[in-house]
Amino acid sequence: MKDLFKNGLILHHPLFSAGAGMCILLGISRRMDDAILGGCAVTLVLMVSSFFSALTLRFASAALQRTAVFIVTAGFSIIVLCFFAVWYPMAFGRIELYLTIIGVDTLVISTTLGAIKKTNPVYAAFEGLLIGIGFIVIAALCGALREYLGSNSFMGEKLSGAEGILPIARTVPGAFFTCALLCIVFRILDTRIIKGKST
Amino acid sequence: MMHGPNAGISIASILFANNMVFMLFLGLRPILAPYRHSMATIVSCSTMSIAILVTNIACFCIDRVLLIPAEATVVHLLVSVVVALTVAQLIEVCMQRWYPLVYDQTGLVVPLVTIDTAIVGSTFLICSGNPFSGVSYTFLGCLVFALLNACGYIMARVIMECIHDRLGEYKGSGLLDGIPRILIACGLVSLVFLGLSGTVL
Repeated sequence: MKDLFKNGLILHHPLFSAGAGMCILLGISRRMDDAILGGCAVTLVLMVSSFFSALTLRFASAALQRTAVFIVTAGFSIIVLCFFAVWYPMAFGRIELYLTIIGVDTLVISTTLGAIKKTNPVYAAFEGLLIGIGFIVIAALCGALREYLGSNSFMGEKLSGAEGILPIARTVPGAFFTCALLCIVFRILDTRIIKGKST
Repeated sequence: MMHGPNAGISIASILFANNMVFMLFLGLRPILAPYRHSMATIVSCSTMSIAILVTNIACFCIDRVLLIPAEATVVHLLVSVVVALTVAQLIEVCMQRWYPLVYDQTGLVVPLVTIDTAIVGSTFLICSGNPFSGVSYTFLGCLVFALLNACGYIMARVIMECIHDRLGEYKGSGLLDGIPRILIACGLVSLVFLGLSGTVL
């Protein structure tokens, strides 16, 4: 359980260790509110698909499992898409492309494929939830940083009349740079924690 | 869709200003975690391009013939996934039949790359209409868009493979190893593409 927390949450998150889920993270992190909403969509799909896969797909033959996972995650993504289109139409309009690709993203597919081997569906859903929470935290941090540096605003609201101190942060290259910066910061934190434990 | 003096601008905008990897963040997974074997890289890149082309055209036809008349565009994502899985299966069968040696070496790569955000993302862009003008595509427009998307993807992979080769020789700080330095390289290439699109910060 301790490993699950450590791996699921921020420091060893698959986003920064394997680059899984990076397409969605970069796409939704232009604004902090979009990042949180997108992260919630990813978490919902992760949880439900993992639970369903651990519950039923282990009875399918090995050849069918992968195909079944793709179809199941795509099906749940459609439900989440419809939910967001109805309840959050403004944010949905801004990040529709990235909400559409949740069902085929490596983070979701690899977690759901891993869930098939788990005997307890609740444990599989819990792991999905932890990975999702890690994703929301990283996405929110990335969104907040990009929004503050790029346009001096927070959740779409201007903090003052002044422009952002680093306008490049709100552009596409800024997403890559901000994400790289966050990755480096988490590595430093991870190294500090390991050093702290050893001393 | 593309004729006269606008043709060049449209082609350049799909290849550079709206490049699916560097400007829309689609298909980043093989770039962030590249294959160590050069044959696997070639197979993954060519498979992905074929899959983008075939899936986009097939999804466009299904969308126009079945989903739009039946007002069932909500299942578009499911259709894209099923079509991409079928294309993956077809590519696997073709490789087994005509290139058994290559298939033995890199057989696992095909099913992994053919369901990717680049494929589903580009079918979404095609089926939801021209992202630049908002006008829906004709079949010819879809064909050209799919072809240019595939070319844009190959170009991005070639650029990043060259950068990977050069970065492989660099022994730097442990903090920058792996994902951060690839992200920074992607950011720099994306900055160049942004400059080519004429954006002023």
